[in-house]
Amino acid sequence: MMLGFRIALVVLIQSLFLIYMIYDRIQILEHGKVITLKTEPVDPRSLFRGDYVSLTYNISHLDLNQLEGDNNFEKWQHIYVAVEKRGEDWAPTGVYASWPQIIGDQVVIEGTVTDAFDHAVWADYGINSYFVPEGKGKGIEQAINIQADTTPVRVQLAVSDKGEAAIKGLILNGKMLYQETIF
Amino acid sequence: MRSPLYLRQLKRDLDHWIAEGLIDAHAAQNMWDEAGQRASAYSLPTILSVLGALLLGLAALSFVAANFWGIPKIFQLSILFGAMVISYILSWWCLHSGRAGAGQAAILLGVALFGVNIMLIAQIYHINAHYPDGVLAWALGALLAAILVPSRTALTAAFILSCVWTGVETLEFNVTLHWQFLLFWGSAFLVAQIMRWRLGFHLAVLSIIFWLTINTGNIADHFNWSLGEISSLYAVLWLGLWAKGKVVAALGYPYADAMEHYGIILFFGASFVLFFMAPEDIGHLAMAWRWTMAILTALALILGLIAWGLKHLQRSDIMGFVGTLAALIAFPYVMSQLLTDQSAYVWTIWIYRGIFLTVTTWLLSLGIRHDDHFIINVSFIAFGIEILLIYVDTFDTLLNQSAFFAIGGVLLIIVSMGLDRLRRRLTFRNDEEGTAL
Repeated sequence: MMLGFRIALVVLIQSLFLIYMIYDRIQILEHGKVITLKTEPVDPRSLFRGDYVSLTYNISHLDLNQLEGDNNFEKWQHIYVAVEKRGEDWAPTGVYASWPQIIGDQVVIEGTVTDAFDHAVWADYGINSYFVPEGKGKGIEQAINIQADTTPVRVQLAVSDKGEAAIKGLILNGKMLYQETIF
Repeated sequence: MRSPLYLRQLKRDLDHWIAEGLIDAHAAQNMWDEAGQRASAYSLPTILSVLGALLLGLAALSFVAANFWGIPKIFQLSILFGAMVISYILSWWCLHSGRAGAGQAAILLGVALFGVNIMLIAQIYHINAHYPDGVLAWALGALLAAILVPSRTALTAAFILSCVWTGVETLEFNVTLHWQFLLFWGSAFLVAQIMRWRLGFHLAVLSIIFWLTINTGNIADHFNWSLGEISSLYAVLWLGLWAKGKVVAALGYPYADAMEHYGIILFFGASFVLFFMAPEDIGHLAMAWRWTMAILTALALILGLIAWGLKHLQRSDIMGFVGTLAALIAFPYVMSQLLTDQSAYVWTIWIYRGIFLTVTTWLLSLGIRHDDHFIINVSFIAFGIEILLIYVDTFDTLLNQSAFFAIGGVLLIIVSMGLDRLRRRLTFRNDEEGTAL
């Protein structure tokens, strides 16, 4: 096989993978069902990813006694959380080990159990980080924390049919602080 | 090609030697041609190119870390996507025009930018999925480049990235036994073998050692083995690797010496851990351990006997090898019987310290006979560490300082007398052979 062809094949396969990553996200952001969740941010710093705001949601820590569905979960197990709209925000109604039957206007989000004991589950949905410009992370977090008691902070999410969630925007005090664009 | 700096110095020396009348112009020309044509695996331009590629990769990484929003996403993506494609085009041009070093560096840069692109896309679309998967994708991209181009720098990146992947999965995400790494490792090892690349062999061995090290506890938990059980298995496994090195040396395998060296140094490491273990750390000797130990020992024994049959080991070596295996198997059995007998435990440890020193001496003699400086040096270091440990251990307990030195001195004199006798016997035999010739 010619050298040029072999290198072109490397470029093609690597590029296809990268394009798939982008395509997958665009599909969720464009066609996913939009919901909003209340959030509580904290701010670490990542070697790889620069500044980002770390977020927790009302579906991050689940009390199984208060929710429908399954009761036994193990660490790193897949989890499916059904949420429904309650007032302005969406809240969890059931927690399942497999894809549940959707009732009414419910939306199901897929996550991974990061810890589980005594009818309590901590889960990660791949929406924990919101990247911000270098040096702005602390400022945003402080602005949010100062008003946290009185000002609701929300994240707008797009959720695909398979339960994958993607962040569409950050809402502070009813105003869209950051809105994601496709490109 | 030789380094330009080396060639410049050689040119000066040749001119000087011609002026001094040490060589004539014809000989100088031959030497110059020879030096100019001789390829060097690690020429300075190649090394500088690779370092340059790494710096460019780091620059791209910082670009991602900066996460600036001044530029639209499409431009951010275009810059890094385009840079990756240009790197690969550059690699084609360099390799096509005979600039192998620069070509390999450009491949490495392309692989680095592929990883940076994964991170950039994850960042600009706020993808916070299980991030070791991203590292795996990067490693697979590197392995793909290593196979298709083929590229040694890409293979190096693949090995390093696979270690990062398994390290994160095991240490950060607490995956109980990350066996998926073995699939990747096997593929990368196969590529290194096909390339017949010594550094690739070293990278493969170091990668699997890294995996075994971070997974020792997980393997023990998985099979319900104690630390003592798994250490004894490791010691037999590494001694078997050394025997395999001896066998494949006879078959002309190019990295047989490296295999032997890894086997010996890891055997010493595992033995140090094992022989300093308390009975309660040895455990109950599970049935799975007994079977695994039996299989590993049988395999090691077969390999040793094959090496003997192929004349790559002497009878004394086989005796040393079998004796060491027997001692390794016996140790967990003996220790498991001594949970309540402290006095017997102390004496057993002393016997095994003696066995360890004897094994070290055997390997030292083997290294001398085969003129293998690595084994000689490692055996000396192991001997020294063992003596030092015994000294530290006995300073205030069984022996006082003067008794320790006295016994040590007598032992060393006996060993030196034995070695001198061996030297005289070998010299006498050589003289006889010389006379016969």
